[in-house]
Amino acid sequence: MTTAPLIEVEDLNVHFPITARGLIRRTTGLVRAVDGVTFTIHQGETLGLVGESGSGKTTAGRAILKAVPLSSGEIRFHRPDGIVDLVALGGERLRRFRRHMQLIFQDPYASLNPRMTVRDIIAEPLEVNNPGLSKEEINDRVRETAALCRLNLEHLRRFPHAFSGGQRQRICIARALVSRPDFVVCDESVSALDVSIQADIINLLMDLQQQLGLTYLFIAHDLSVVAQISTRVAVMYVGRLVELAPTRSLFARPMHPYTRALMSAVPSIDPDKGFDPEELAGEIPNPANPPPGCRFNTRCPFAQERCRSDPPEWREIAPGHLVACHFAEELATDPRPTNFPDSISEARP
Amino acid sequence: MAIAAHRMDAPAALPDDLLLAVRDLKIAIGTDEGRIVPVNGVDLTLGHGRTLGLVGESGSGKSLSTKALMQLLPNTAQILDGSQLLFRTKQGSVVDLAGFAPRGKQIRAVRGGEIAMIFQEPMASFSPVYTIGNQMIEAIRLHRGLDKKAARALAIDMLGKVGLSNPGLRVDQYPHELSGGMRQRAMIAIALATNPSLLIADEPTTALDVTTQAQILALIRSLQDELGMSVLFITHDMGVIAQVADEVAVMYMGEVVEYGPTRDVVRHPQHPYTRGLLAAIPSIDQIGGRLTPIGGDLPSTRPSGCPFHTRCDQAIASRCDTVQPESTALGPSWWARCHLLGEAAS
Repeated sequence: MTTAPLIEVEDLNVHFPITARGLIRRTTGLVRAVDGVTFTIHQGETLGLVGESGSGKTTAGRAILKAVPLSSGEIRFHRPDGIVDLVALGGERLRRFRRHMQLIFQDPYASLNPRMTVRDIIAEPLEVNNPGLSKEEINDRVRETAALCRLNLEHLRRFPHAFSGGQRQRICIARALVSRPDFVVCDESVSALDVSIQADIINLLMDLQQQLGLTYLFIAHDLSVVAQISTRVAVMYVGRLVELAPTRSLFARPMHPYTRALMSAVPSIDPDKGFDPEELAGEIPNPANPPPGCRFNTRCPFAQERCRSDPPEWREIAPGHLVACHFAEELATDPRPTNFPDSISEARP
Repeated sequence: MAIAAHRMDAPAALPDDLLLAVRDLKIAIGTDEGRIVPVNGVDLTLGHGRTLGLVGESGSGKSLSTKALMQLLPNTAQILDGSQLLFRTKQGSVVDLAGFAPRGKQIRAVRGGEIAMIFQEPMASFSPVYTIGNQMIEAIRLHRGLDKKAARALAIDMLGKVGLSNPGLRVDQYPHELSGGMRQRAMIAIALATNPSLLIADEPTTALDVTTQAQILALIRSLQDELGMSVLFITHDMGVIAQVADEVAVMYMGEVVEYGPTRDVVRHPQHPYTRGLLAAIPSIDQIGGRLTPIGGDLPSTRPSGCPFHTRCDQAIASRCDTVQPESTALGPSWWARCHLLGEAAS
């Protein structure tokens, strides 16, 4: 495992306009789906991206693939022959570059065309992006990829309806990998599957990563799945990153109050391990009208005056452990403070 | 230990500590390709004030089994003879719900009044054109015989009890005006407004975010303590089961393969399927490493003998594939259906 960067994302913004109804479509507001996000994905790693509905994790994943229009920011993709500026890339050049980055969706039922055979589904990205390949070359590549994804060659002639959820997801994976990408975004790719099949697909994704040297951005709302597969994990809340750290440090020592609340809410399969989720007040704010200062201040049990006015800086609190919280140091020293606000006011008069 | 007798000569009576006993429930469905039996021998018991977790993968028959309790099966489905759904009513008499006509008066008195149900998708169980209050008042008046004013007061009281802020305002709102978590709370308020003795919760937190799920689980638990009802909690999430259920029933292909106290089953699973299920689950307590999937695919039709034998690595040739295993008692209220356990016991 190297720590050479594959993708650097800097101050990424994706804002969707809210338009008024009527003849003239005036923009009346902005949904800040992704708002000033900065992170790096290392070569060969799996970066987990977690957050609740509406946190912007899916939009962030698509923005990196340039599948949604970016408002501003930089995305740099490191290739052996140099650094590619993805934001500047457009038209035919972007289309040709797409084979280096692929997406695996959540629903293996909705994302396969029922009128195409499995062979045609897997071959399509090659036919579109590599017009120079001969039919034999394409067939060879399809067979090789299908085998890697543990699909039977017999399956290639059939249509998607003949397959179970797990087999369909293997077809989706084969389609994503047939063009031999460097980078794959898995957006809730195992969330719709039953646990016994989910385990199989997670193992397959991990094996393929080893065999093909893949780098994943693994987006999911299920923290246990993310913990299983990820090298590092990033946590998003209302369009912003709140914490990013190696998986073990994040789960052992979460430093952002939101991350802590999130982890405490996961029910453990050990019945003797107490289930005592930290209560969060209120509801997730509307990303069209986020609160000033720290986005989490409306629900944070430790929020101070400063949190309501100053947005916290995205900073490295320990080697490789990034967090956006004014009081992360104080929170980290006490695993579960009962009268935390007092200790903060002492520390920062 | 001898083979448990609970399936044989099951008495029609219900032991005093139980609210519900399902015995040998079988449901057949007519399809274009003939008759299938997606629920094929479900046995479970639920005590007063207890929570039973029903866990299984898609198609295991868990939802269908619980719909049978309320006679809410699709028209093409039929509860087969010999099935018993014994339920103790509020008056104290024991009735067999399996014998009630789906549209009859008897089941209508039970459904909603004595047994209430909440679902995964709250939007699907609300009418979008009536206010929350309207829908609650209708149910309350039907089952509790209150006048409009008293029913409205009770509705507001229930909305407050489930933790909705400003219940006086919420009562006149439409379902679309609430967030997902709030809607789920409102649905629980409707379900509990009639003071049922059994709440069936069918994946009530699956569509919710984890912090909201934690709130809803805590809410169900506190309401259960307060109102003394029993809960049948259907989920595919073993973590949820481990944290909320007193007993757990594990279903595979229309059968309960293992039933017992949650701690025992989760700590020392005895049926190979239960073991496989637990090994396949990622957990934040064990980061990294490989998972152990259950080998093979779910068969499309129920295999002969033990339904799990096609995927079981310990299957005994010419036994597991031909003879359906009886249940083996593993403790006072713990049993599993597996030939391996029967061998060990005898």
